[in-house]
Amino acid sequence: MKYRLLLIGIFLLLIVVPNFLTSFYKQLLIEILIFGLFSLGFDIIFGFTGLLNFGTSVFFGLGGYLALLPILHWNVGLWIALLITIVICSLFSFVYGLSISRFKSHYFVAFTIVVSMIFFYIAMAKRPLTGSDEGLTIKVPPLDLGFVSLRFSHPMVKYYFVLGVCSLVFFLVWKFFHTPYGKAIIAVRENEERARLLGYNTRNLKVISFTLSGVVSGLAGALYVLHLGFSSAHSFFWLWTARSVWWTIIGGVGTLFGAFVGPGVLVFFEDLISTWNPDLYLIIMGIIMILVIILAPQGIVGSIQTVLTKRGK
Amino acid sequence: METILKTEGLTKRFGGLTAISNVNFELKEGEIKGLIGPNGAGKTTFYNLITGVYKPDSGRVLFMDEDITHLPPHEICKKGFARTFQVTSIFPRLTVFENVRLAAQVGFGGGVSPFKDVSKMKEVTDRVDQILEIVGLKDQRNQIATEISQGDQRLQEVAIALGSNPKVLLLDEPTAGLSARETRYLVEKIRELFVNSMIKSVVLVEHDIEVVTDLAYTICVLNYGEVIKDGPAAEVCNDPKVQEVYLAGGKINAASQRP
Amino acid sequence: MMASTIALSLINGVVWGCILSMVSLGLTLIYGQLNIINIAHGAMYAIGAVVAFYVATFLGSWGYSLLISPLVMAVISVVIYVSSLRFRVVGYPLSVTLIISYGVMFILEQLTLLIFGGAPRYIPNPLPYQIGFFDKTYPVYRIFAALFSLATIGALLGFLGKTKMGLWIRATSQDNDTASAMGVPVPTVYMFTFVLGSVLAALGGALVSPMTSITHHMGAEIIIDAFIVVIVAGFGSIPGTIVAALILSLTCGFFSVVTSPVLAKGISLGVMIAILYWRPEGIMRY
Repeated sequence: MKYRLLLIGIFLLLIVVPNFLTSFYKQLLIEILIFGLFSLGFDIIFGFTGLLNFGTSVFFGLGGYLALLPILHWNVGLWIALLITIVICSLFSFVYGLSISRFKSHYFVAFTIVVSMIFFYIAMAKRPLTGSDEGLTIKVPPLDLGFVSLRFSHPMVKYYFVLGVCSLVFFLVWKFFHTPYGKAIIAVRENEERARLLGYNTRNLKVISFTLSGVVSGLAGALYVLHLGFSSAHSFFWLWTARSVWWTIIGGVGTLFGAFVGPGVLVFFEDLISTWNPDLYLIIMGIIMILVIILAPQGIVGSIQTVLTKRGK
Repeated sequence: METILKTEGLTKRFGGLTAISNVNFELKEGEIKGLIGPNGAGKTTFYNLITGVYKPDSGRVLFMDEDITHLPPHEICKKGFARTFQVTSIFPRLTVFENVRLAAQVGFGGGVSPFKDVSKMKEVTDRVDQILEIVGLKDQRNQIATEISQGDQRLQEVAIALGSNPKVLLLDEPTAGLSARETRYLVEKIRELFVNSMIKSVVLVEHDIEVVTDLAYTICVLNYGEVIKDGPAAEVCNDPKVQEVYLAGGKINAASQRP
Repeated sequence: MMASTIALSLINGVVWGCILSMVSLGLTLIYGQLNIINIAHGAMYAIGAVVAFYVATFLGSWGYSLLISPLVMAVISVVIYVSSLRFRVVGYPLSVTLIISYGVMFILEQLTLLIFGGAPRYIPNPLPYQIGFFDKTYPVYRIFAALFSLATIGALLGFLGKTKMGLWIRATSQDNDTASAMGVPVPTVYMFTFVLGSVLAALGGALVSPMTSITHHMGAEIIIDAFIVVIVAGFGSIPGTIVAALILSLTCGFFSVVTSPVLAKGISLGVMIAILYWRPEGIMRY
């Protein structure tokens, strides 16, 4: 109950506060929200289903191009671009999840890594389609709300749109994991064999979870393209996967909210470090990742939750 | 009494080893049947064959006259089987309540929906509380499953199995790792559940021969994957072949007879 | 003319396959023994090449790097193991060790960048001879590199089969509890295996250094290759590793004649996935 209030409070803060922030911090917040959505996808498949997808950049890059290309070639509107992203990402993730569902543990991870690299290589190779490493630029269409058409590049428009999408998805996913189906997915994480012997079709559960994770991360990729008006083959590079992993781990695996806290803390942190000493950035991130996973594997939100439950006793 | 579970000529080989050989087994509805035998006799393999985790090389498994031999495990269990494990197999980071609820969702929830909120599903929540109350875990309701005592964990195993509302309950050494006092408590609980019709038909794999004779009407004895004796408890216990194989010559005292 | 181009490409594939086998074996050892997917393996390969660069530049002769790169890597890997991995080796889920390894990779790669710089560098070919091959010629050095890799693999097999430590390694990977109960110093074995695997990566980097451009991130590509080789090879299988490495390199070599190298890379990885799909436990099970 208190947790619910906290989330609502934060949501209200997020609506009000940006009106008082400079343009720079508004952009940072937009990025935090988008990266949080991306990490949410990872948390769904890893934190809640227990499957380590080490190739989330596939969804991020794919979602980005699925939004970018229709806008570039067919001049579609914002909503249509997002719709295309969601529909095709769902199909893709579903088929991908189906193909991979038979693999366990190490093989599963290996598969996801390799698939993401294959996409990267193909994206780099197909210059006319993707713009390879130089990428493609688009003019982002206006946000058409029926009664009014808003310029998307206006920071407040962009911000509220991104906030709206991210909040909605967060809410839906949160609700989902409170349904029997969502709980069944968690059961697969805890003890797949036992879940199967309770009557759960664990394969279906894994595929559905994988699909959901793909759509969420893909949507984040699309939002990022709308934010930058640009994408390149680099969006498929494994560094994006690494980011989604460390954002989620540091924020708190399996907490959903942690997926946003991770980027929330780290984007500011990364900004700080790169201004102070950009060379040390990856080294420090590496050290932090190791320290967190060894000393506080539940991440920020997870650790806070543990402390609060212990205090309550 | 109707036969609820039957195997015909069930055989399973692993490479050169025949784990289960031509086993004919019959469980009647409303019966507790013991399944005993020395280590490696094939009891766990037998359970795995029934629940579909292994597929037999020959033979059939029939549940209420339906051939379930080649169905996948989750479908077999949905039809009304629940199994406990010799080595506690639970959902480690969830609470006791959540553990049982996962079973009850399937057993009493009428379909695993992606739309309803679990906390609002009253029939399920009530059932879970009822089971926890009967089994004696009401106080541990909100504790993490692995943080309760060994004895309570074995009770939790049974509670989860009950959550599925099974027609057939397969118990696998439920008293494994328990002290004498905890064993007696568990046996009393099982008897209570049986008398209250919360469990109807049970197969009981056990090493503790007193537990078996305490609860079971009939006993089936396995040795090297074959049935060497199957019949009323007293008869089986007094059978010389069984005594030789299972107790190396000692005598088993059959507990008082059950109607 | 086309035929000899393809043939040369295939020979390149074999050469690269041999080197990749050696590097992948390092990964297999670590994976089979410690259940760690050592993502940092690629960075170790890069370090091996970078050290070779400094040896060739400052000591004048590349040949010493075959000794110095492994030594440097041995020290580095001991430090890595002792400071992080040894706390989370056995019994921890894959995700934990993978992430630690990921963190180590970042650190190593960035340190290499800071020391070595971002620009690619080259060292002269220590064996600048060519061998005649139909109407073309082929660099002798590459053949040397391939043979050296095979010799190292042979030495490794001999070591595992005939020495006490080798026996301990094999015993521990089979059943570490029993091994421990029998007096095998399991934690030491773990560390030794990690060091051995890392050294093989560094050796690969040193071998490759005269053949290609040396950069701080040259590990990124080989880790994917080695990784997929290890998985397709089957859990800890040494012959499987060699076969898988050869399949990967030959496929890539062949397709890079017909299409762009980048696409050839993608195709060869796709072939490996297809194999994995057909045989999910790997092509050989021991």
